[in-house]
Amino acid sequence: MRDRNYPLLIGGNIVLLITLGALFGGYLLSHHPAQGDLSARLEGPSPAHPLGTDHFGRDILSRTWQGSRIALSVAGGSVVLGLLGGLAVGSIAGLWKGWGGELLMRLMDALLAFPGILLAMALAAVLGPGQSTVILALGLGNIPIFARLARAAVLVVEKEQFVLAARVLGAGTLHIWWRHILPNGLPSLLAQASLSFATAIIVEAGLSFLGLGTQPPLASWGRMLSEARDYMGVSPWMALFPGLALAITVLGFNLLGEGIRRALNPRRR
Amino acid sequence: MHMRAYLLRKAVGMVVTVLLVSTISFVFLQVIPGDPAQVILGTEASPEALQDLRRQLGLDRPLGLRYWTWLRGLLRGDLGESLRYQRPVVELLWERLPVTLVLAAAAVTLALTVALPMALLAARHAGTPVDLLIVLASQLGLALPPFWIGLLLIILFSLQLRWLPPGGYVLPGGGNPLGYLVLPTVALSLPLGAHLIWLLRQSILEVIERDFIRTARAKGLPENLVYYRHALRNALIPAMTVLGIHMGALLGGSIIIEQIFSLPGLGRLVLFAVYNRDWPLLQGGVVFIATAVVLINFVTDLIYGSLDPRISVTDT
Repeated sequence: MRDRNYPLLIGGNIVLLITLGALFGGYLLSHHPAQGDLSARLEGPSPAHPLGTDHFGRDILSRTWQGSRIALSVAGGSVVLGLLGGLAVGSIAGLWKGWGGELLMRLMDALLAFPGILLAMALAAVLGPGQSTVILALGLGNIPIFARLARAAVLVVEKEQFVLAARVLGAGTLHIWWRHILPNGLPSLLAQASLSFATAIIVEAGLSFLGLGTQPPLASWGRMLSEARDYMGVSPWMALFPGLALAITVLGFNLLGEGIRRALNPRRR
Repeated sequence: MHMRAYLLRKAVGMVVTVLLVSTISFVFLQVIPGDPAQVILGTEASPEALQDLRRQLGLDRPLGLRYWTWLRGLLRGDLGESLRYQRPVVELLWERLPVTLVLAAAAVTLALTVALPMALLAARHAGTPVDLLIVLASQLGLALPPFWIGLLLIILFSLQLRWLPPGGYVLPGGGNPLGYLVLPTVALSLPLGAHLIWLLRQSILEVIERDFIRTARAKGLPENLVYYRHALRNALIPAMTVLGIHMGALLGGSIIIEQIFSLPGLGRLVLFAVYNRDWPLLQGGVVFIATAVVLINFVTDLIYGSLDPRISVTDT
């Protein structure tokens, strides 16, 4: 019986839809995310405002759409930073056999001890809150995770027969890294990238919830949820829709990551 | 002999990591900002006020000396004095630690209590609707941000049903703190529990195909015992490491949860330090939490080593 890779299928489609929506959804919206209408405050869902309005009379659908752009760009930036940084550090640590490689990995262990949100809080105090601070902090926090994977790939691949053969033929370290280690290590890094993407979205929302992430007037899902806190009794949809958008997006990236991993290692379920 | 060498190596590695942790904290909060006094007081502060604060924080001394003083203070358990509370940072951290510890321990316990039977149930009925339901629930648990769940729990159980308090805490002796811990514990344990279900189910399914399980079954061992005695015990080993890795996320997550439920824990103290630019408190809190994560991972490593004797020999 053929076992279909449902996580890949479902996760991939969710991610594709959300990305397309974030990129082009703006053309379908009739309200500006930051423009309020004080005569239409805290309204429930209606044809004019499909997801209702918030305490300033701003359209929640438009704000949720803007939130998706912010979530994707912050998570994307931090994952790219972590992936490239981790690939570099992990490759060097794997190829450098002496104490230097050992020290690099110890440094990664130490960096891993800082919860991402704590790192972001400290950097927000130092550099001021904002999206770039969150990207930097989450990117830094991601580096050790990718570095471990990259180093593991180096250690496994460099013992393979074809790499030994290439070495005998006179291939340099850089050539071997580019032609053999990178292509073999990349899939597991990509699976992790999707999972890190999901985590970054949750942490960004948490930071914005605390007021340390995305700053007004930009709408981020975390900010919208923290604003919804004061109106939980009157208009619960304010807390419902941004949270739902967040959950669906995170679910999509988690499933995609799991799907990629399953595709790489078909024996695992 | 192997065991002793293994312990020594792990201990040395742990000390090096703690040193690096304190160095990273120092770089983040003392080197990157350039002049912390300026960051604390803002750009409109008078030169005299800046000078006073610099002297109070020891910023008028060279960086190398400051780093040395910081390390020496750490070793003696001295993290300086909080700017807002005017009290030693260590004292403040110790005061808040119990709340966070109780919350984290409760969350881990709850996550394990729910995840173990769920994972077993799913694995025993792999491929059936029961399995699918549990897998879906665990994916959902991973996707729902804990602070959102916290909000929804408050709406449902505190505002609508009025069963539990929406937040706050009673100090020991001042009443029953249990009611105050229920909702935050549920919210905090959700991602951990969901991840554990997913992971345990997977490793049980892997273990169940091994030869020793076939042998156990061939001996006529009842299916229940096969699962409880053999499969689960072996599947717990990878779960232990995940638990260690998750402790960082758990302590990080408790920062937001403590804030939502107004719990006077470590996380809220650090957040207070960020909001109020209380530099010594922030620096102390950051290094304290990160060191705690290193120590917890060290202990999980040791337990892991004793659970599976092969690890101490093959460990690289």
